[in-house]
Amino acid sequence: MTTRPRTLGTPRLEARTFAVGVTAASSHPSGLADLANDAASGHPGQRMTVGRLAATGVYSTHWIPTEVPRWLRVEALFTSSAVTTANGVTLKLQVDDGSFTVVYTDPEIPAGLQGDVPHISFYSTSTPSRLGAGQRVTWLLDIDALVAAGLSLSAAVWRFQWSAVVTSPGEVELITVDEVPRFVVDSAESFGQLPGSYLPRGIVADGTPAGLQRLWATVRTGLMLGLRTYHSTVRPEADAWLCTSTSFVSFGGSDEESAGVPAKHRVRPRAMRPGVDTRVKYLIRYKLAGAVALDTATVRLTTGAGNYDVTLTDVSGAWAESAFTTAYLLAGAEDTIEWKALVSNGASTLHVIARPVFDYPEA
Amino acid sequence: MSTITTAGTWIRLPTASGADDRARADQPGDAALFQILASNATLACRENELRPLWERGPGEVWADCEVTDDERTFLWSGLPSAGVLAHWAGIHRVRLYGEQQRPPRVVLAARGAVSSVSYTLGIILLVMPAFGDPDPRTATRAVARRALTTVGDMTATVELTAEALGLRAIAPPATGSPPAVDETGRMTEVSIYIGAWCTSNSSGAKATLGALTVYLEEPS
Repeated sequence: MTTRPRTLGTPRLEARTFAVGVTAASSHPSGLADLANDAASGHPGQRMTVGRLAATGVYSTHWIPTEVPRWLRVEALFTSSAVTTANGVTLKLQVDDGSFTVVYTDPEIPAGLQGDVPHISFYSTSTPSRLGAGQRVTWLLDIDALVAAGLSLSAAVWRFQWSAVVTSPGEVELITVDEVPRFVVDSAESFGQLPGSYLPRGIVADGTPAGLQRLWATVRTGLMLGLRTYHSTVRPEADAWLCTSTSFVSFGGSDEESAGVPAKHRVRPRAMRPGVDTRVKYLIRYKLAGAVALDTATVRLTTGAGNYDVTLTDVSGAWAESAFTTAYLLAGAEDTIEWKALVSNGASTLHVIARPVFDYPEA
Repeated sequence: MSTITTAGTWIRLPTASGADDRARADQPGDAALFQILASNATLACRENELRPLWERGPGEVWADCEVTDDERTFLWSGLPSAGVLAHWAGIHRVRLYGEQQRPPRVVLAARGAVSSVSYTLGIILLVMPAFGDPDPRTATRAVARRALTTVGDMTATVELTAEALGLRAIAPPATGSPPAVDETGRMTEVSIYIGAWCTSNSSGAKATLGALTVYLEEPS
């Protein structure tokens, strides 16, 4: 393994400066190598968001594992609904990939996310800003360590379960997780251009895994793994979005912009091919209560490009993840996401607590 | 003089590492190949950065600003139970965009309606270079207003400038044995705050606020 540090920057390579001819190489290959690195790992876009929590609850967010980021950054703001420094919030994080779980007491979970300390706002009469005087905490999750512990980067998705114990007037204003861009190039990964392969007045180093053979693979990583999370609303397990209707309806007050009309979440599609609808995929974390064998539920994602349904069949009554379902966002500057659902048996109740929508780039 | 660094669309090439890989070993490299690679890489850098940052579901708003409809006096410490929507939307990486190396725009996209045309629903998007007390007197901000009783789009857009960006060091501990190269560096970012008010100032005349989303888009 060879690693080299890099600083964030996007070189500008003008098309006209490339030599014209059948044997000419780039006029500035090291610049192209830097640009490829930046495309692959300088702008990772997945995130997980848990909005304001004023009550104890268990929440689930999802991340598609890729080898692009080395670290995930967790930012949280702990606030208070009253001008007092009393009481706070404890958080426990566990991560599972469907077959292995890193529990909150494992050393891969940082202190402060192990339910070990209460996070208390500094909101008081002397610092009377509810948001500004909140306690902001940053953690870094080591993806390599999580993999070494047993999680798999080959899994379809990792689920992050956040268990918050909220003691009023303590509150969580926000938990947000994003991917940290890469500050090194690592030859052990399937992408990346080592600067040493491109020396001034030298021949570009050749051969696996160095040099030109990794150039296209590196650039292509920017398309295939530069994923963005379009939608990340969640609910607590004890207060899920519910559906008992046998025809498609919205999920109710907390997900409606007016009576019976589902909320329209406005998003900007990733326009890698302008004029072509953007492919995305979504999953549903759900349980079906009161269902019997052969009962199902269906969740519908509606975008400007169409309706996309997933059928949910687990009638065990336990929380489960649906398979990923493919959908499209309408080409253009902006599209909308809205949700409806139905159950096949009106005696059953569909509970939904997470419905993330991710990029699903077409090669 | 204008410059062209990307065709603005992803150009397909044969699969990397496949038999037809244009960058495979001993394959002559021609200018067109490198132009395509540079174009695709530039496009990926730009589009990948323009991502959604935050969202929340619908709610109701009825509290006014301290001075009616004046966002400079917005009640940032207010709570939903008092009819105020005031949120911290997080601190997010923002990198310069395009040939002109300008910061992208931050967009707050919402939908809303008032209960009577006598009232105004307002939304505010406020951006600061670092986390702190949201201060509309000094921060970069944008607002949008709606005084219609039908639910419709509301959009507040902040044109970031270089001085609106903060610089943040990321320095996780080195790991492994022997320790790997430190994955440390610095990046620019912004701290984002969201608010909404209604001039009715009465819980008997609530404004409806649909879903809210914050995302980045290309500079104008």
